[in-house]
Amino acid sequence: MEKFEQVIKEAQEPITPSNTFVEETMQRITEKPNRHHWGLKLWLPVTASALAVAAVFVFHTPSSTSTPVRQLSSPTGPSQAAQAATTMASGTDNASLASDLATISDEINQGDSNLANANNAVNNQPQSITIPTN
Amino acid sequence: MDVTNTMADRIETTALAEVRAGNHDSYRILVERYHRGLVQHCYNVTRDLALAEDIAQEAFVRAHDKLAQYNEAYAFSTWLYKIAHNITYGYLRKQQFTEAIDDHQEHLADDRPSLDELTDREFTRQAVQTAIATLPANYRQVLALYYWSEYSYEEIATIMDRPVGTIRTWLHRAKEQLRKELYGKV
Repeated sequence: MEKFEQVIKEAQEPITPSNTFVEETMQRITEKPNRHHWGLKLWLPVTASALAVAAVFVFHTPSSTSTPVRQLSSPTGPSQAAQAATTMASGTDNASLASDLATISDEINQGDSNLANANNAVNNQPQSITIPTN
Repeated sequence: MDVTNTMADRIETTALAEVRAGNHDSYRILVERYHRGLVQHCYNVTRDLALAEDIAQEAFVRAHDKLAQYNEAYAFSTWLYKIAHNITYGYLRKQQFTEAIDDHQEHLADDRPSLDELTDREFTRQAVQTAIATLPANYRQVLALYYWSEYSYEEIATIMDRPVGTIRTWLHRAKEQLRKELYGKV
């Protein structure tokens, strides 16, 4: 080793770590499993409770039928059936739901009847074409 | 000396196996064996004892937590120094350590004892320390690992995750830069 390298080698400033270094490091290492343990103790009941509440909510939700009815009331035109569906969306119990469904059914039947009448009227008109002559 | 090292290596291997089996207290053997060298190395690079201890402690904790990833083809100390190296460079990038080094150099210059108070040897040592502090972080790291921690080129390459050729080049350039810095001063 040349002299210059020897100079570098001897230039290291020796330091002494604090007396508590090993203990503090070991404390950090050995405390970690305990932290995880307490974490599980805390989070497992919380998660279980949240799942239970979510399950109760899901099973009781079908009594409120507003969501599927709103799908029926998507804007396809200002028909009477759509208006009836929109009205029905405000119903919250089974009785009003049944009533709303009956109204929709009546409106659809009425619509079919009107369409049939219109078709008959068109078919019964005389098939004549007038050609203007000068 | 070799017998002592072999014995220490065997104890270390046993301790590692015990830690892997869940006995975390056995990790103390590794901390006690390497903490002085690791703190010294971190200090050589950062020139801040409190920071060096924080980095070394974090390296020990991470090495423990990621022990499953340790490849026994390398010495445990090499892996430990590699983790410390990554933490140090992460810190240097985050804190823009270059500015801190500059401040630290001014601080060193202010606190430096007068020439009369220094022996030739001590004067030389401080001059070299000050010159090393001006080097880029990777050069300081290579110098510290090679001359002070006495790692081989191959081990330094593993620690710094660079090819051996790069390590040789960095060490050569570090010495040249240091020689220029010190020329006429020592």
